[in-house]
Amino acid sequence: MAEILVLDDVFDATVLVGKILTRKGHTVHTFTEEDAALEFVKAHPVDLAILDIKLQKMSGIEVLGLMKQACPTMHAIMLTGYPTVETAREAMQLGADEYCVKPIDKDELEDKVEKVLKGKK
Amino acid sequence: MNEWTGDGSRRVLVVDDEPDMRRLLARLLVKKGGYDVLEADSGGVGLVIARDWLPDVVLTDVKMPGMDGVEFFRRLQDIDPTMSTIIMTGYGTVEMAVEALKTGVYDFFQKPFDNDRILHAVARAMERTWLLRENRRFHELQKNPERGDFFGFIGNAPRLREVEDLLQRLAPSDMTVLIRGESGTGKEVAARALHAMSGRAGRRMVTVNCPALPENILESELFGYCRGAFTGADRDKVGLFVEAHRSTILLDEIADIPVSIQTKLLRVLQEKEIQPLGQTRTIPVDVRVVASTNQDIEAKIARGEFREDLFYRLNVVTVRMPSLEEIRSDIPLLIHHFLRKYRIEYERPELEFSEEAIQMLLRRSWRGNVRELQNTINRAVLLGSGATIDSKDLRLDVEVQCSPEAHSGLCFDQVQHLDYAGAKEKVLKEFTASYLQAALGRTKGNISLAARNCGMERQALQRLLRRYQIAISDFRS
Repeated sequence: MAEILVLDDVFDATVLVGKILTRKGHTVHTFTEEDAALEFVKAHPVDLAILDIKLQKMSGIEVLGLMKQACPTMHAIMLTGYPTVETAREAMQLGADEYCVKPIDKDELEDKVEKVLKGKK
Repeated sequence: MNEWTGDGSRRVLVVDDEPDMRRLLARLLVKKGGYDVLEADSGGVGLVIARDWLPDVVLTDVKMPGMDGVEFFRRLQDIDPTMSTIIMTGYGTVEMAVEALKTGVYDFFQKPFDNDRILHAVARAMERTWLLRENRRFHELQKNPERGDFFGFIGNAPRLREVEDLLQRLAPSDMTVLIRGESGTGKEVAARALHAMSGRAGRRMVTVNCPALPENILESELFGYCRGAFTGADRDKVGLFVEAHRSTILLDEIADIPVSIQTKLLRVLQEKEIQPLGQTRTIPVDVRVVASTNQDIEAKIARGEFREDLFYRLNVVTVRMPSLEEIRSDIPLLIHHFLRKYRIEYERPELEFSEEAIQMLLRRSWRGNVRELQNTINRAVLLGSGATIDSKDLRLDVEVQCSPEAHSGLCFDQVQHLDYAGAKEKVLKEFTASYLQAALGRTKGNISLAARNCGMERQALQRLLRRYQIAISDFRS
């Protein structure tokens, strides 16, 4: 099973996503602060990052770019409540595998995560 | 198919059913970007243009009657997957953008957009296309190495094609040809091609390296002599012009021949006959003369070192060999060709270049032209220690450091106070020692290999090592 990082400035959102994916057998690391998440990725490469776009200091797009630099093989799913064509475009160009709109239901999330991780192998 | 011209034209195809939008974009790309732009009002027309014109970048609207932009993009990929496509839309949805980018669309813009951002995106897309094509060409060559081989000329660049075309047209005639070009551009290869394609091909071409021979010897070599013409002429000697009868003679480095011989050469070209030394009779010869030079003959004429009338006789037609800088697009082809050649020659069929080494070869400027590139690859294949040749094995930096100029000046100043024999001894000793040390350094102390590189016998090299007391153990680590 995979190592997954979840970053969202809303603590409850990280817990919810964490629960769903842990139940699927993945190891999930949740963060609400971008700095801590970045530090973690640098020390501990993950298979997949699920990133919110509206964060406290940076944007999730910026975080994606930095994480890809630290760990180029990492997959990424962007998750946002404020979708725009512009952020979608930037995220995909930086190498995100998916760009999803909140609220996302459990089945869709499980499905997307599975697909992205499978694409890896 | 998919011919990458590499001629520097940068083509953008704009597809949109709204004429105003199309024109606006086309004008922007032509005026601000300097691109070649064609327009199409539908995906169908766009595909026809794309197939014939092979644009580098395609800018397309999504919502068009008939084929939509996404379908159009898919069909473009079938024509040539290296074209980079940018999609524009007035009714962009996030899903559409995500899907498009996932399937390989290069960029996605929502109208109205900023002109600078479009220009920037097109420029980056152009670069991506170029890289993809360069890469594809290199890999195609590995499958199909025979392409672009013309009497020893490897390449498809327009400049080289021009030369090949000219040679082909000149070959059947008996016209005198002057081949000019920098050192290492293949002047002799061009002369051979001329000879091989001519009606004289059945006979051996005679090549004379003019500066290699001293004045009086050059003269007797070219025109021959009779027994008794001078002391030591104990029998008749047939000159090279007679030997080249009904064939071709190549006068290599013509600019370096002494004026006295220039006069005699002029006579051969004018009268088509030669007069051997010590003979009053002239011998008619049927020789096609090809001359080559890398020097500025016009400057030599101005200084009075080269006869103007000879120049005009030689310069009936000039073939100008392109420098490697002018035919950079052929470098991948050349790399592949030489790698293949030396792999066979040195029986190392598995050897490959690392990506880094290829990049280094592709980017470097080659002052010594094709010859320098060839020698670099020759050396790398021979000396490369692993299964791949990496950038270190190319030894390109080492080369610069041991350029001869770095040594010579120093040596001569230091020996000026000695007598001739002593000075020669000292310079020779220093030269031999540093030359052999460098040669052994390159082969890590392998004597046989070093001897082969220096073009000498192993025993001879060992004799020199003993004489100059070079310890071989210093190089073996």
